[in-house]
Formats: sequence, C-alpha cells, structure tokens
Amino acid sequence: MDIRAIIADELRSANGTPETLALWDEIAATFEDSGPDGVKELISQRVKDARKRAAKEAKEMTEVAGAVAKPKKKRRK
Amino acid sequence: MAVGWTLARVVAEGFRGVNQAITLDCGDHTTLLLAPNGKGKSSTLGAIEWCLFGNLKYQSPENRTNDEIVNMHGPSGKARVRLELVGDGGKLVIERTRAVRKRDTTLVVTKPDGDELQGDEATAYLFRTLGLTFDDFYRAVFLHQESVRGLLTDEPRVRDEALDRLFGLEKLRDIAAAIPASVVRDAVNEIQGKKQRATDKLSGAASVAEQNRSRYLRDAQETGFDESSLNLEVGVSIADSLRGRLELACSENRQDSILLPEVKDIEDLEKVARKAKDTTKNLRLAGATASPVDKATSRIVDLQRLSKSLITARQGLEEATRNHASQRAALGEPDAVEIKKTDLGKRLHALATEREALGARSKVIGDALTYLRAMSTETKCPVCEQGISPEDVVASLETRLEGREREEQERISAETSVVTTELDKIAESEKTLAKLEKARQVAQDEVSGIEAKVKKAIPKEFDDPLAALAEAERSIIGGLDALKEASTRREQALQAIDAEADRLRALHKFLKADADFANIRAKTQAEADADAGSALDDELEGLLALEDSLAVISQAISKVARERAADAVESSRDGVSLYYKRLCNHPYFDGIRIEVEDKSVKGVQKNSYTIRAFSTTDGKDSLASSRLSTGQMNCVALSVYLALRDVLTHNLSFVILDDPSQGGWGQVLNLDIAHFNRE
Repeated sequence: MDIRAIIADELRSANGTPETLALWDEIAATFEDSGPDGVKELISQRVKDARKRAAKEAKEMTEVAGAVAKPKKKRRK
Repeated sequence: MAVGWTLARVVAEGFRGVNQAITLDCGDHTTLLLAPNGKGKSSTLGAIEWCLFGNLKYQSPENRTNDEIVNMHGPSGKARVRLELVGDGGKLVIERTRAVRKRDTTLVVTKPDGDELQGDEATAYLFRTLGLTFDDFYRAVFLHQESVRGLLTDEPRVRDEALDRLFGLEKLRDIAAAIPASVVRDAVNEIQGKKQRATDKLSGAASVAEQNRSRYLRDAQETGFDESSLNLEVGVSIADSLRGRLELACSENRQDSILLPEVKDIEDLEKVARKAKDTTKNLRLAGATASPVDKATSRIVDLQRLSKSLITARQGLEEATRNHASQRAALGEPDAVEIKKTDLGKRLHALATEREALGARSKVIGDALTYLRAMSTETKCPVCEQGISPEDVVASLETRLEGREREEQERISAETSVVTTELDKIAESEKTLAKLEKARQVAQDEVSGIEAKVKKAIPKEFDDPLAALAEAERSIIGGLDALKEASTRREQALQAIDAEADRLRALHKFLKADADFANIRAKTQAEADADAGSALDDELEGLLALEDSLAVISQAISKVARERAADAVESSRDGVSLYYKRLCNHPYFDGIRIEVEDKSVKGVQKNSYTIRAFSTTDGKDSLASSRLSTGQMNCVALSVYLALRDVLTHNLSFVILDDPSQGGWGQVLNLDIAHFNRE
C-alpha cells in the first residue's frame, strides 16, 4: 500500500491546498527516512523557527517602545 | 502481505542466556524451538529483536545500562548477534554488538550488493528496508508471550492501536501520532500573546513619544527656534558657531583651546553641548581664582586695613607719650629726684643712728635699775653717799625714764615712717614711669612696623604714609570699574556660549524625540496595516496555515485509516473464524468477528475496534473478553493475530511466536502446523 500516494489522492479529492499537499509529501518522505521522530522534528523545527522569528520581531517592537523614555519633570527654580 | 525478507540464519553469542556462540538455521517453512525452561529459547528470539532494533520490549529500564543484554560469563565480554535475511534481491546481513557495561551498540549492515553501512546510516537503511518501527515489529512480527493477550485485555486505546497495525494501518497511525498539532497551537497562542503585549507597549510608547515631541518642540521654540529650522544642518551651524566662540573665550582667559566633536548625527549635538557647558564651567572656575577685579578689591581692603592700623597705632603712641610725660612731670626731673632720694636716705640713716643711741642709753639705765633692785639694802648713794631709799629711787627713775624714752621713740618712729613713705612713693612713681616708657616704646615699634608695611605695599617714596595709602586706594578704585566692565563682558560671552549650548541641547532633544516618534509611528503603522503584513502577522499566518494543513492531513489519514480498516475486517473475516474454530473449539461461541467504528479522540477521528464472539447456531453474540476463559481468550488473540497479519504491509516475511499458549502446547498443537508454513 503506497500510503504517500493514497493520502495525497485523498487530500486532492478534499480540495487540499498545494501547501498542504507539499507538507504531506514532506511528512511522508521524512517518515520514510527517519520515522515518527523525524516527523515530530520536522514540524517542531518549523514551529521553532517561526517562534524564533516572532520572538525577534516582538523584541524589536518592545525595544522600539522601550527606547522612548518618559520626559523628566522640570525642576522649579 | 508484501513479499520481503525471510530469516535464514541467527548467530548469537554472549547474549542474555546464550553463552557460547549458537547458530540457528531456519528452515524454508516453520522452525520450532522446543526445550525445557531456562535453556535460552526466549533469549534466542530476543536476539532477533535486539539485532534489528537494538532494544528489547520487555527489558526493564533499570537494566538498560548495567544490563541483562551481555552474558556475564561469555568468553568475549560482549553480546554479538548476526542475522542473515534472504529476499528477492539477495542476502542482507545485520550484525549488532555491545560490550558489557556499555550503553551504545555497534550496528553493521551489509547490503545485498556488498556495501557496508554503520551507525545511524545503517539504522536509517534498516527502517527503509524493513518498513516498520520497533513497535510495529512487536505488533506485526513478534508475538511475544507477554503481549499475546494484549489484543483483547489491554485498554481500548492500546487494542485499537494494535488492530490498526494488524490491518496494515500502522504507518498512518504512526504518522498521525507523530504530528504534534498541540505544538503548533501552543506556538500560535504564544505568538498571539506576544503580539498583543508588544502592540500594547508600542501603543503606549507612541503616546509618550508624541508627548515628548510636543514638549521638546515647545522647549526648542522657547529658545528661539521655529519648527522649520529644527534639523541637523542647523545643529551643525550652531556647533560651528560654538566652536569659534569657545576658542575666543579660551584665548581671552588664557586657557588651552577645546576641541569640540564633529557633528555627524543627532547624538553629536548633545556631545557638543555638553562639552561647551563643561568648558564654560571650567573657565568660570579658573576666572574665579585669578580675577583682576577680585585682586583689586582685595588690595583695596589691604590698604584700608593698613591705614586703619596705622591710625590706631599712632593714637596709641600719642597716648603713651602723653602718659609718660605726665608721670615724669609728677615725679620731677631725674636730678631733683636723685637729690631728694639722697636726702631722705641720709635722714633715714640719722634716725636709725639716733634710735640706736637711744637704745644704748636705755640699756644703761635698765642695767642701773636692775642693779638698784639687786642692791635694795643700800641706804646710801654710792656716788654722793646721801641716804637713799632704794625702792623710791627705783620707782622715781622708772617713771622718769619711761616718759622720756617713749616720747623719743615715738618721735623717731614717726619721722622714720614719714621718710620711708616718701621714699616708697618715689620708687613707685619711678616704676610706673618705667612701665609707661616701655608702653611708649611698644607703641612706637608698632607704628614703625606698620609704616614699614606701608612702604612695602607702596613701592615709591612718600612722606606721609597715610596720605600715600589714601592715594594708592584712590588709584585702584579708579581702575576697578574698568576691570569690572571687562569681567562682565567675559561673563556675558560665557553666558552666550551657555545659551547656544542650551539651544543645541533643546534641538538635540527635539530631533531625538522626533526620530523616536517617527520610528514608533512607522512601527505602529506597519503592525496596524493588515495589507502590508507585519512580520508577526506573517509568522502567525504561516503557523495557522501549518495548523490547518496538519488538521486536513490528519483528517485525511483518519478517513483512509477508517476505510482501510473496514476493508481489512471484511477481507479477514473468514480467516479469523477459521483460526478461531480450530484453535478454540468453543462448544457454543464458535464464531468470532471484529467490528470497527469511528471514535473522536481530542478532535481527531480514530478507529475503534470491538471483538465479539457469536454462535453460528442461534446468532447470539457477546463481547469476547467478557464470555471466554483465559485459555479461550488466548485462542481468540492468536486467531485474530494469525488471520489479520495477512493484511500487514511491511517487508518481513516471517513471524515469531514466543510461547503463545503460555505452557499450553496442547492447544497450539491443535493447530495444523501447515498453517504456519509460508507459501
């Protein structure tokens, strides 16, 4: 049974997007090559990369916000 | 079932219960291992499992380091298992070794073409070639004595998984189980939270930045800027102007010139302003210690002090001189004083002589009186020989003598006292005169000392020190105004520099606030602009798309798995019944069937299986696990296993049964051995 092709057909018949088909292709290839741990690693790595980029962007936003200091009160002479 | 690799030979040495090397050549069909307990049957079967996967299903975790794998009495001190698999493409040789007390194993795979693979490369090749995981192996190939009843008595989840694998759906189930949907969801939630927090911060900061900009704009306008001139070029121009002014100020104050930094960006404006302020501060400090005005003022004070001191000293001298003269006049001229003192001395001497003479005479008379008293028997005067009464004579003499003597004595004493008093007065006056003379001398010395200071203070010839002092003071006061004017000009120049530095600072603050505001506004707009798509939104969209794709894939897997399971149940129905009848031979429930239905587990559709026993006579059925004995249950499990393994999809064409009847060989032997044979 060619699992890869069967699921791909099922995805196509369910109007799966090209991205979904590509992802399935990648998951199936990874499973064939490295087993379940490989699939977990594949998805986890994508998520990790996205989180890393998001954290960097959020940090930049926070830094931009943090660069603005509240004005000091004027000393009365 | 796919045609793949069959087991041709097993060589084990130093593995668990196997000490010396043994070689097991498997036949073309069924190989039966019969031996008493403890003779190594399970170890030999376990060697196959360990060689393929480097692991044992039923080995407890605490034995995985200092373990049961290596036989402690083995001659080589290591476990070694070699498998020879034969397939259509040739022979595949797998050899795994492990030294005692070592965790890692060494795997060497020799491919049919003779290539040799080791380590991870060999493991990956085995997975691709055999087409099943360690768990799959346990469900599909190796029916362990511990798990023979797992199909019926394990919890539903485990049973469902086991049946999925028996139906050849193990890869789908493994893939579905490996897809970490929660990881994606967690990341989406985390990024959404981060985005919200960052956006809130950005929003708050934008408000502050706008306030800052307005405030610093006001401040800058108060220093003379208009909004259109608030730019870096103007800052450069002000810095150049400051540079020139500071150079001039340093020169006028005889200080080294200061090097101001070049203005290249906004921050340099603040550096220039700070440096300029520091410089004016230092120039003021230097001026404060060497100010001409202060020096002149100080000199005036000194001259006035000298003048006052001289006047006071002179007044003191005049008074001392006056006192001395007065005392001298009262005492008299020195010669007259000396004569008077001599005369008084002589008189005092004479009185002393007179007092001495008076004393001698008084003694003679006293002696005579003493004599007369002693000679009180005399009746005649020894001189005139007249008759006398001694007592009368003595009494008369004593009376007369006392009166005269006393008068003389009083006179001498009175006169002596007068003379002595006079001499004392003269001595006292002379002493006072000496003191006054000394005081006069001191006053004179003070006047001389002050006059010497005046001469030193005014280095030119003069007759009257006081007049000279007054003239010098007038001269200095005349120049003081000019000095004050110069000092005022210098301070004004420094204040002008400070004012320019303050303007530069105001410009710096505004430009910085303006840049911050522009920066934060751009960032805020970028985040708010959905069309432009911020980086965070991109990541969120990417993760949500990934989540959607994974959900679609999981659904597709579930659907296919469900359809395939239903097909497998249908196709294996006869086989299950056949095996069950032969193995179990139950008097009433002589049939067995598997039912499959959908089950939602955490949002994912999974296959759920039920195994029911039924009577072909009256059609009544029941859950197999609730009606059958342990031995009958074993037969059910074995029937399901043997019938459904035909639908498995993997590349190992052999099956291992480790004591499936748990000592009840009688039941197994009911089974025609020919059913195990490979066709």
